[in-house]
Amino acid sequence: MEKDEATNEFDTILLPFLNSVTEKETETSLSGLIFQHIQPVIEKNLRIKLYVSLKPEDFSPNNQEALEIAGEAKLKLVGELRKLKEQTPPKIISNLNSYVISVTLNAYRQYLRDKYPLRQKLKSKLRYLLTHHPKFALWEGENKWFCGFKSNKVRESIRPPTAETIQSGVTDTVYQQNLRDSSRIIELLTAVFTFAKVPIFFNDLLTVVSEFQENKDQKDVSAEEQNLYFCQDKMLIGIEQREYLEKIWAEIGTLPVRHRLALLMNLREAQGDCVIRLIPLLRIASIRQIAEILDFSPVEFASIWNELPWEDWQIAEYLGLTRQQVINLRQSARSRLLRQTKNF
Amino acid sequence: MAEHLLNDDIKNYIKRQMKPSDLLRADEHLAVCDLCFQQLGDLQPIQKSFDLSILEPSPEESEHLSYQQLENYVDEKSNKIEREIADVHLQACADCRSELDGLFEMRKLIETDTQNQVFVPLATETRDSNLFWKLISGKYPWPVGFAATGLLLVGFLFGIYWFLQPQKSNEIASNSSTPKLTLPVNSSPENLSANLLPNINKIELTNKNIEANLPKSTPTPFERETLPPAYQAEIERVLAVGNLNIPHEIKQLKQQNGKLMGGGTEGIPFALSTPVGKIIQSNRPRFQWQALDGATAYLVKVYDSNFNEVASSSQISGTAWQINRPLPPGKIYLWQVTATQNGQEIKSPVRPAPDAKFKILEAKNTAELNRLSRQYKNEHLFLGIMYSRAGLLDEAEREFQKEIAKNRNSKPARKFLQELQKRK
Repeated sequence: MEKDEATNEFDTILLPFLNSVTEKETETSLSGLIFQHIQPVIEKNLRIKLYVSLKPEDFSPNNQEALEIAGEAKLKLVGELRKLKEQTPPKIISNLNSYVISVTLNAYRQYLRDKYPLRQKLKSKLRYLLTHHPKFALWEGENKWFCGFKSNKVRESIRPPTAETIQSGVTDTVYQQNLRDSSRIIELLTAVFTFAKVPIFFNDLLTVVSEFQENKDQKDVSAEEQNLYFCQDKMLIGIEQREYLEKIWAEIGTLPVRHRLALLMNLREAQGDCVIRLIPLLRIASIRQIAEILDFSPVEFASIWNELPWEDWQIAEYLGLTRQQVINLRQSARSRLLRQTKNF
Repeated sequence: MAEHLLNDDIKNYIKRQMKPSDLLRADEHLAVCDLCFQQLGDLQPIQKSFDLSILEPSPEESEHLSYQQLENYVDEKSNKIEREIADVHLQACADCRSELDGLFEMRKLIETDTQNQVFVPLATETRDSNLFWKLISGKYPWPVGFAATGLLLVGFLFGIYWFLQPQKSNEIASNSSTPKLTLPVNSSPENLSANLLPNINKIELTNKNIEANLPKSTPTPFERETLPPAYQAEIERVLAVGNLNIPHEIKQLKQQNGKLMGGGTEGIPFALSTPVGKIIQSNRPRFQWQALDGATAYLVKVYDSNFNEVASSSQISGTAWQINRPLPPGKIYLWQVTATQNGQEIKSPVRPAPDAKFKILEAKNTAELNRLSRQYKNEHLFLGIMYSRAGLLDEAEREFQKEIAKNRNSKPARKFLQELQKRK
């Protein structure tokens, strides 16, 4: 019954897959979804972000990276779609297109973060500097981001010098004036833009600054680093299950109340079951104790117990926040707990 | 113990069909009755396996704070809830903390740079050539372009003529990395020190009872550079009156901090050492306290002036904690330490003892003081007066001590040092 009601709110594109009965039907509708709806959206977004062809025969490093990201995003989406068939109630995806875009962009950001952590940090620093310092500017031109002196914005149409040209052009100044030190980054940017005379591509600035500051990432990042905290195959049984939940429960108590609420009221395990229900069943805490930690009166909490888990909009309504804020609260609570319990 | 649950009660509990009052009654009973709990387990066995992925973010959710979230945090544009979200995430995520530190570093550099009014001659040149480019690029009708280009050329020739004339401007434009000082019209590198000295000598002549005079034999303290004019009046006033200008805020922060720092009084089972009752520059202070006998662990919590928790340590065994992320500057904070002793939690300070307060200096003042301390690094008397004015009494004391070490006859430095030590 729950599933039928939820299905009504799904993107209609998903319905043939969700309503499929036999294994053959499921696989056919899933591959239809992937090739007609998911893959095109992933590829379109990665092409825009990374300016790549996404053709397997294109062996340029950027293209190969983009193919890797596309594969990663597709894998995650297929996993999520399969979960939808198993969960009761299932997670609702009301707009498949937006959902695929979010997953793709997250896979893209995470990939860059994992592979080039230093470059990512430098990118943020430069972005902040260019958008906050009165004499610099960062703006989006045709398909690319430009940066330079604010007074130079008009000259975007001129072909900018390449990163190599800039680097060789300012090397003497940089070394003579010791501009490689990170505390002199403003002077370094001034020297770069002065040399370039016209706005340059933001990515080229990033390359030049990271070269001078020797802020370069190692090319290979170990798989271990990429997924340090989570081992998906680890299934807990019996006493371990209880211990794990006990540990989570103890950590939840250290979070601010809104974080506890956003996490616990919606926390589901793989099959979609509400994790909060397991807490009294494992005698980790009573319903009354859960109410207390969530700042509910026991009667009030008991009256909503049968409705749990709540959807994000319900939590948002209860807390007087937006749905996105609830998602952000839960994310931040999750990431904290994930790290606190990583050694389990 | 209340009566055992009926079979139907247990079934309704499992199906989640109980009324709130019945549910609470059943919940209380199940928590203590092994028999009913066993029966519940028999009717609804808990899943045999449990997936650790309950904490894994969904693929559509980002694992980290976005750039926008970090930027808002640094620019203090996050609202209360956004800040809370970021704070909780930052406590656990070293990646985001490091990215945030990078942005704070940039903010500080921008503040320092814009206060120094860095003069960039080449940028100005670019601006001119920019206009030139637009005019000749065909974006304007040719007569306009031609006339304007002519005007620019005339301007350029006049500029060369002007440049070759003796300098009359009251601005000394330095190159990009050198701070620019605005000086009186009659200033020149040769008479910079004279600009200040006559004023000080005048003070000496008109205020005979003031100890804080510079002896005429003392080498001028600012031989190579002069002070920014904005500060000259302040220095004159302090030297003339003979008292330091210390912000009143310090008094509010102190509030009998002797008790806190000494320990042993009511509400202070163990003393908090630093930072207490002071204004500090660092936005990542190191908290120190005295040990409590038998304590096995300590937990530090930092609150803003509205008593919202803004940071906390993990359980630590030592008596010092370096906060792991910057606190927003320009605000007053309170902190409290909870010691664990024989399984009991003991907090310090608690009422009726005063709160342990400190303030982080405003970012722009920090930037300005950093600039002054770099530019006038050998002018300890001047720096001491400037630090006192900002309420940084430890730093001021250190500068006066350096001045005395450099010049044993410096009466003002001795007097100010005494004054500071009395006030601390």
